[in-house]
Amino acid sequence: MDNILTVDNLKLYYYTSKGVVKAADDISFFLKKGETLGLVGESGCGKTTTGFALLKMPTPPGKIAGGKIVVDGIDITPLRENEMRRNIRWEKISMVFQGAMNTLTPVYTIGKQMMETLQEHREMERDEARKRIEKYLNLVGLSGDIVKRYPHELSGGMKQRIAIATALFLEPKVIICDEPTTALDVIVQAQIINLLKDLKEKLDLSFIFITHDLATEAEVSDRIAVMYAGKIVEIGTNQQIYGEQGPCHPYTRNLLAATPRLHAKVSELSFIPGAPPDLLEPPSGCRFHPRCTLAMDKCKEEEPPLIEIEEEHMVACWRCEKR
Amino acid sequence: MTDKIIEVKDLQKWFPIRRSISQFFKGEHNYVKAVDGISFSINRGEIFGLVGESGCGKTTTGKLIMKLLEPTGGNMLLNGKDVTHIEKDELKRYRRNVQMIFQDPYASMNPRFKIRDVMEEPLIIHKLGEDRDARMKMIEKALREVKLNPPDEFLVRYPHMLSGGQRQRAATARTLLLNPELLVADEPVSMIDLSTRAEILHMMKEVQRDLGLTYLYITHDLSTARYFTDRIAVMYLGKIIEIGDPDDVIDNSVHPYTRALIAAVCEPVAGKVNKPKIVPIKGEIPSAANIPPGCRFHPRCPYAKAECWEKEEPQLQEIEDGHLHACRRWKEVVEESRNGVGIKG
Repeated sequence: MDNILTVDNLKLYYYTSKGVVKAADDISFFLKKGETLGLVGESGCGKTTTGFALLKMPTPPGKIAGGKIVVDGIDITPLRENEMRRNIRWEKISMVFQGAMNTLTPVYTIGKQMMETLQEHREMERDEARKRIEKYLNLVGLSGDIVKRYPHELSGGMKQRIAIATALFLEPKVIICDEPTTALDVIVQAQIINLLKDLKEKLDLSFIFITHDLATEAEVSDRIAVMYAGKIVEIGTNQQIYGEQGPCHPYTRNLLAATPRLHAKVSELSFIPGAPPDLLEPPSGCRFHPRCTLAMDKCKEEEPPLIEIEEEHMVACWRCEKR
Repeated sequence: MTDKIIEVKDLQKWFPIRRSISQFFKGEHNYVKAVDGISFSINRGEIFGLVGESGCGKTTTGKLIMKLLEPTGGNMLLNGKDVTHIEKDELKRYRRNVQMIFQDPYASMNPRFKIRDVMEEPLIIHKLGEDRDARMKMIEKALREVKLNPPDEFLVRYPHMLSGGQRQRAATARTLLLNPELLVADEPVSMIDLSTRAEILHMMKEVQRDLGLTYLYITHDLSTARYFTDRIAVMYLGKIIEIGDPDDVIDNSVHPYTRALIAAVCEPVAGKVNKPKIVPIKGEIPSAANIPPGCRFHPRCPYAKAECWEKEEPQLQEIEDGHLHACRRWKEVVEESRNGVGIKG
């Protein structure tokens, strides 16, 4: 099967005055055509950083320190900023930012803001642009006359739909969604999840779905990559992570156990003692070892590589064996 | 007889909003009816959950109970004593009994205060502890209660030096200093990372058991509510529409709104990727300034019939011991949903 996006040993470091923060360190994964890949992890694990790195838009003082990103057959790593802007961003790969619904300017109508994005990228007659805006608004389940409204007149769910429509505009192949459902109510969340599933089918899109919530990920992602302290610790299919046998990495196992389930009566939820490490001085060896109950001496000394334990299932843990 | 710590009867909070000139001359008013007549009671030593979407009035209810807002109507009893309109000294005494844990542990502490100062402030306000040494002893005890060990190490730190989980522990310790009977916890874990969320809830439960506290736990998250609470009340647009113990409300819910909420919750289970989520509800939550007539849920309810909007608003009724709901057609709802009526993607 074709890979629409391949990432090899991507490194994004923040060069702060206190030292180098390795926020995304040696990230490698691929995204198949028409697939949703989930990136899960706690705050500060580098999932949003990875998302920005894919657009080559690191937040200062961040810099891409190495690695290779191939989008739709084009290696974007050596491209310069104006080439990225003209040919890649939003044309090939776009992003629905975290809290995107709050980035709409309160003083302009929705139509004006959407028009601006469109005209920045394409030379287009106003009428044609209007038609295109309406098409994409309809696609995300909004009526065309919403263009005359101001952001304060819309609900959170509607604004999120507009953010998604804006990301779709220039017909990209890959869309990165950063916590698209986090600030929304459960019912609206379910509607947005349904919308993304619908779009994936209709437009043959591929998604990268970033969230901290394993439960949401179970509903949307075909494959899931779990990040911890700037590293991918496990990648597996939906079935491998949430199925009966369950994940293999102790972090994923614990995180899953800490996720409350509505339809299971548990008297005590489990949790992971301690806090994620400071990435200025990450722990030696496996970065999870200080919080891991299964840690042995080797874990403290040597960093485990990401190895395949069964088809499509990769784990970085000395304790995991081939299945 | 169970011992009721707080009892709320027909409590209302209406916020006035702008009106037109003609309304002004006619003496008419417009209101956002954030809390529109709710009644419940919390038993001593129980964890009572208030669940709903944003804008349903759950936080306003919390603020009314904290007496940060003055109710528009109805009354409140604390330990059998009317506290609806208390002022000054009485209010100060009330606040010692009823304390609050806020949602955002990053904003609820002064960043220029050390933890010691953050914790000492309520003691000074309420004139507890004779001198600084006595107060420090109390603070250290409270910090031990919430497992911030060793306490002296945390006393001299600033809030930014603590993780989210540790801050929420310190915030809990601060409320415990005043020996409250009732703690209002408004989304105490929604800003905390998943791996430590359970730890904080666990700590809160332990403290509650050890000190015999009572919690009002306000949340939008049904999954944690099920694990954490003894009773759940579901709010919609300023009204409680279903109330009961977690097993009843979640596994045998009758109100169509509760059922929709439950259907919308994501579960970490395999094999749901390629199916759309089925949520039996229409549209979006209406504005609290313009509450639909009859049953306020009817415009969004897939089971609504003429009686729902023509007759007056349904009141809470009991179907079994302690399980109450406000739906006229509940029998049909349960029956029809079993047959798949009203279910759309």
